[in-house]
Amino acid sequence: MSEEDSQMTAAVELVFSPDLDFVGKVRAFASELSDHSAVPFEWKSQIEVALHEMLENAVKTTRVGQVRVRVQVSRCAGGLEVELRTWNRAPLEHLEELQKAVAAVSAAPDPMGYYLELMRRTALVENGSGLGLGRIRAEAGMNVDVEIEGDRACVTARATMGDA
Amino acid sequence: MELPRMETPMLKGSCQQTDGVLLAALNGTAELPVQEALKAFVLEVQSAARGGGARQVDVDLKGLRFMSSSCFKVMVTWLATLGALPAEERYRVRFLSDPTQHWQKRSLSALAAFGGDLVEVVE
Repeated sequence: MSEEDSQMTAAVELVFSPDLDFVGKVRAFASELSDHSAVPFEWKSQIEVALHEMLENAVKTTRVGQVRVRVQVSRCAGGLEVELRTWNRAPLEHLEELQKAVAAVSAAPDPMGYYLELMRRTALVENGSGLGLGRIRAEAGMNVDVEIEGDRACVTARATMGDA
Repeated sequence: MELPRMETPMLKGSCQQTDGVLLAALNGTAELPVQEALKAFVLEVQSAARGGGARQVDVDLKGLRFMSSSCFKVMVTWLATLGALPAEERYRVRFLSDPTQHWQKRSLSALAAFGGDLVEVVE
């Protein structure tokens, strides 16, 4: 989206230590952004769900440095565009898995069907939930993307949320 | 038999039993730091339900402000385990939700789709 056809209504960017105890606090703080923009109340919980999954994933896998997060709400032709981004540095084997998981969830034609499939696959697996990306797409209704450079990952979740 | 109980700064769980129905309530926020505590609590709820011959477990989530996928997975595992029991040992699970917490509507309809006939969501 170009600057001409968008108008930022609110944005917040935070950098924090990769500590799981911060995830809920950062989620709550960043989601307050929607109180200061035109985001309808019912969308706030979708943003919180997606943001939390992204933050938890970034914190869990960060081995070096900090986690950075940005929440941005812009006006666009279809209503409001919400964009969530996290940046972190993680082991290469994790980034390969992340890239595959993002590709699979993005390619799924039926987000809820794919989410249910993930539940069936992971229900009796001990480690990790394996559900976060599926949840962002199926429950939060947001598209997910990832860019990787070396050991750096930038995960983006984006949605256009109707006329507001 | 002592009923399951969980007490963490982030999340609390308690149970009551009446007439074949076990009521388990969760209050607070369910995130990764309390996943193990929640897992232990849910395992105890499962044992209490089977040991007490419950035909239904009500899970009151009205006081649950947020649940991450790490804790949502605990519920998924519970329902998968329940579905694998012999038919005569299964019980129904009803999630009592707060419709003003929009995440609950979406998360619980996904759980209901996963759990099939054994699961009901009540607003």
